Amino acid sequence: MSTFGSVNTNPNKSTEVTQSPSDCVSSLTFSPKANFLVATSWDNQVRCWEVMSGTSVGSAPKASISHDHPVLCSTWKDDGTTVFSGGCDKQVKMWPLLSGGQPVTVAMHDASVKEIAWIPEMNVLVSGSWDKTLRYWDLRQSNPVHVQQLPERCYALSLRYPLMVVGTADRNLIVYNLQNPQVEAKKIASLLKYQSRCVEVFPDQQGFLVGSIEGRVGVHHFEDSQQSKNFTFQCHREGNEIYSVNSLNFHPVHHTIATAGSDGSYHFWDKDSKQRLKAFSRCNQPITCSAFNNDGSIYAYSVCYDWSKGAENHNPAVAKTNIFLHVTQESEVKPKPRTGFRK
Amino acid sequence: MSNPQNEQLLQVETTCGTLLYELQIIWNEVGETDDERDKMLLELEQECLEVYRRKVDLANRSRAQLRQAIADSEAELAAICSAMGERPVHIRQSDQNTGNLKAELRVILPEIEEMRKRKCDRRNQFLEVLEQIQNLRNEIYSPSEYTPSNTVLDETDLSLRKLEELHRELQALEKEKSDRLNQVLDHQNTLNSLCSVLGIDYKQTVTEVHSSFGESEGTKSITSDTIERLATTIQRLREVKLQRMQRLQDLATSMLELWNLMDTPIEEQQMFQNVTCNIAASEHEIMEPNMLSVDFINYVEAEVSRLEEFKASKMKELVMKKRLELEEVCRRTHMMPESDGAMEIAIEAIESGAVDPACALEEIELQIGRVKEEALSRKEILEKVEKWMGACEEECWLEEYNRDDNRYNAGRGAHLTLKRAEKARTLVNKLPGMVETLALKTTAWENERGIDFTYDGIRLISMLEEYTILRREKEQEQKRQRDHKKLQGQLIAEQEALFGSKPSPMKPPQGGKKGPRLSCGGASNRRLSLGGTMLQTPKHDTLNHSTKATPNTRLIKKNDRLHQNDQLNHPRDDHFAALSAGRRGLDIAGLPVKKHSFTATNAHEPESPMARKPFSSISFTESSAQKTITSNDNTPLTTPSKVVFPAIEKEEENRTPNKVMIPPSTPSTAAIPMQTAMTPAPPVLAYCANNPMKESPGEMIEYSFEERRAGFVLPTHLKTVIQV
Repeated sequence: MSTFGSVNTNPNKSTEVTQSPSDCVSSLTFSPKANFLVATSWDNQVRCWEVMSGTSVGSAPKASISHDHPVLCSTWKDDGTTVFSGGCDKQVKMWPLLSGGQPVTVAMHDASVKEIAWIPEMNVLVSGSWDKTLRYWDLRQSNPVHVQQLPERCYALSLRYPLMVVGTADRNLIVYNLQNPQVEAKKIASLLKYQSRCVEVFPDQQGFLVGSIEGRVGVHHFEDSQQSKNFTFQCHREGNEIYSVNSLNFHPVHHTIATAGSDGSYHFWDKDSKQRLKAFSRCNQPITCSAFNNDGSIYAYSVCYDWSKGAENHNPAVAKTNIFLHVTQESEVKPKPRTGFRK
Repeated sequence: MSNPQNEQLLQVETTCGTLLYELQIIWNEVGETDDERDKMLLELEQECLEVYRRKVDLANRSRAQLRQAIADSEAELAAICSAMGERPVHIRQSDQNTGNLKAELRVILPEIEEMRKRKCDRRNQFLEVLEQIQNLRNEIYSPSEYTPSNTVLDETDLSLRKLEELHRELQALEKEKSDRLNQVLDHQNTLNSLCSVLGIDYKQTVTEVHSSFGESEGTKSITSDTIERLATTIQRLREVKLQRMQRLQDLATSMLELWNLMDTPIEEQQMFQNVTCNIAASEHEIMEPNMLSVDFINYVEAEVSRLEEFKASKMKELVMKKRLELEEVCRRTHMMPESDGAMEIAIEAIESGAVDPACALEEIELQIGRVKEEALSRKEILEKVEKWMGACEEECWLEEYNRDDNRYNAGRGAHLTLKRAEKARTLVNKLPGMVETLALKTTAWENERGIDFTYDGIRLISMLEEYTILRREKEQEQKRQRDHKKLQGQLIAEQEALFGSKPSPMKPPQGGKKGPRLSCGGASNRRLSLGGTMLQTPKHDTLNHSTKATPNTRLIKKNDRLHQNDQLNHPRDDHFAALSAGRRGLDIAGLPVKKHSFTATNAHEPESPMARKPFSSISFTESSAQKTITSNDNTPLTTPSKVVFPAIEKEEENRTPNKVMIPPSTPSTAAIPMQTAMTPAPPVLAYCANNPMKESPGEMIEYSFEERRAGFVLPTHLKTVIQV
């Protein structure tokens, strides 16, 4: 597993994370405070690495815990001490990582937990599940403080207090104002005609991005006055081959977009100038998820089979799961002044 | 116009008439008959006719001749024009037929003259060019390859085009000639330099190639044949040069080796400086005249053989010299040279002629190479050893100094001594770390090479271990003394209480400590002095000295070596005994046996029997009693922190779960109560009524990749509930 001495097979010369999970990665999250990377995977594992950046990026495995079933999502507490993870065991575990404590179950659902997010402003955890509910958890109580019914199974969730966008099956996009979480602030018809795969709220909270399985990203704005600025753009397509957009991230400093897809490539975009800043070569397998670290200097992405072509296209013998670290260059993620004319 | 001919004719006519008249008169006189007269007249007429006919024929013939001449001229003109590649000019004129034949001929004739002249000029031009071409060809090509194809003038084609062609050919040939000349010149230069370097007569060589090269004047042969021969000659000479150069360089190499071996004086070397400076020169760099001549090579060869002979005579001396060099290297790096006897044996063998001295020399040189290589790898460790020894010396000094009761008395240089003591203290503090790293380095070295790292024949690791044990014992001793002092203090206090007077503080009984240092403080034996101060036992037999082996310096005197080797076996024995005793002691003390290395300095370790101190009989029981006290009471004070650390680290590494457990239900960090932020909402069931399911039962249910993988199927009961 060690990259030392071995040839870097990554087409973009990204650094491989040592001791990758043995099965597909379902979520990647960086600690908001330090360069700790957490990955959840289908082998029931939640793993944590310390990422060393400097002249060259490297990683060292730190710790791991396991669930009874595949893990689908993870999130960090804002102080960077604790990791939450949820998955097919229908529960969310809280893992006090930094203090070395044992994981404990803090949330339960009736079906797999697909998305979780920590709301530091409310000191509450929110979890979205395929049981068509969002549940809000005060960690001291075993029962949810609030259960919010969703029109469909929760597929994606993005949160920038007080705004939260939830993408569900049937292309529903629901916006919540967390100051009043019981009410749907807005229900938006997706600009995209296919299944929503990921959502991401703008850093300036003026809108959000939604990525679909049909290689397209929709740029939505909340305000009615800004509806004219909505647009969609295609990505992760190769000729007639169309791939799913699996992950969307905003760069924490420059607020540019990173998209990653089933074609195994990832791209950096600037939505304001409607430009693609940088396209990267395709890996041999899809990219399932990705994340920037807190200062945006490292972009982590996982390369493994995402089930986009079903079980018949999965060959467990050859499928390998890798997490790569890309050191971002200023030129890749900084918005460029608009050069071409596009409207 | 009065034409004389007409007048003549008139005259003739007149004359004829008069003549006829005369004839008639004559006839009349004669009385000729008419028949006679008619006959005469007919005769006359016939004769006249004959004359006319002849004249007409003549005129006719001359006309035909004239025509022929014109035709011929025209034909010639045409031929010339065609040969010269020009358009015949006059033909049109003849068509017009302006005048009679003679005029025509008159017109043609100058033309033809002109053309003939031109043709002649042209022909001369051709001939000139052709001759030049011929000459060049003769120069360039040897007769064998000479082809006389178009060197003969073709009279039918004298056109300008042809002339130009020939000129071009001529130019090409001229260029080739100049090229060849240059080539020949080049070759000649090369040949010249080669000949000069090789010391061969150039003129002769070059004449052999072609006689024309021998003369300084006159044209030189430039035929392909000659050039080729020149090239082969050059090639041959170059090969000779390479061979000789190789030979010379070989000779130079051996010469350098011999010089080096025998320390040949510079003046002698100077004579062959020009040879040795070319030792690595490439072929083109050797240009000095006669550098590679046979004579010169022979000369160098002679010198080399002279040196060789000289060397053979001095071989013994050389072997000795090399041996000394080897020993010097060994001495510098504190390695044990291979047995001394080998040298004597080698010399004897050389003298007896059993061994080729060169072989012996080579053998020694190989040894030197090996030793040097090893020395290089030892360098880092040796430097550390030097430092360590220096530190040990300072430690000794410090100890001595500390025992000096007058040390604080201000005397000359006291401030310097104070300074030194200060420095020495810091150094002594660093000593354990120093020893530790040194041991690590040494072990790594030994593991890497699979051999022991010896320092003057003693294994460095054992030296270090010994030193550590001694140090430990010394610490023990110090502690014991402190306790003893305390006890004495108590006794004194009691005595004071009893007798009311305070006896002068008793000097610690190690007054004799200076003894060993003084008695065996030979400058050559540093380790003895070190050991002496640590042991504080004034024992004088040499065997015992060596048992205290801490770092020792190499014994210079060869005589000592054997003797010392005998001693060397002992320190290890004693050392192991000490170790096992230490271990035993540990067991007695009831402490868990820690990793037994010199790094784990343990204050509880009891003194080993190794230190035969004057007080041992008294203090042994006492110290063991003391030991139990300290282990029971003073543990936090006396136990070095090092013993504690590994346990903590271990725990951290393992992240044993029982260490810090945060109860899940009551996170201490949760400060803001949820209730204040919002009120719990009732379960939203109405929601479903507002938004009926989009998918009708017949519709395909959309599943995400994850749902498909997880095998998640929307439960029907849930659906029905929602649909209600």
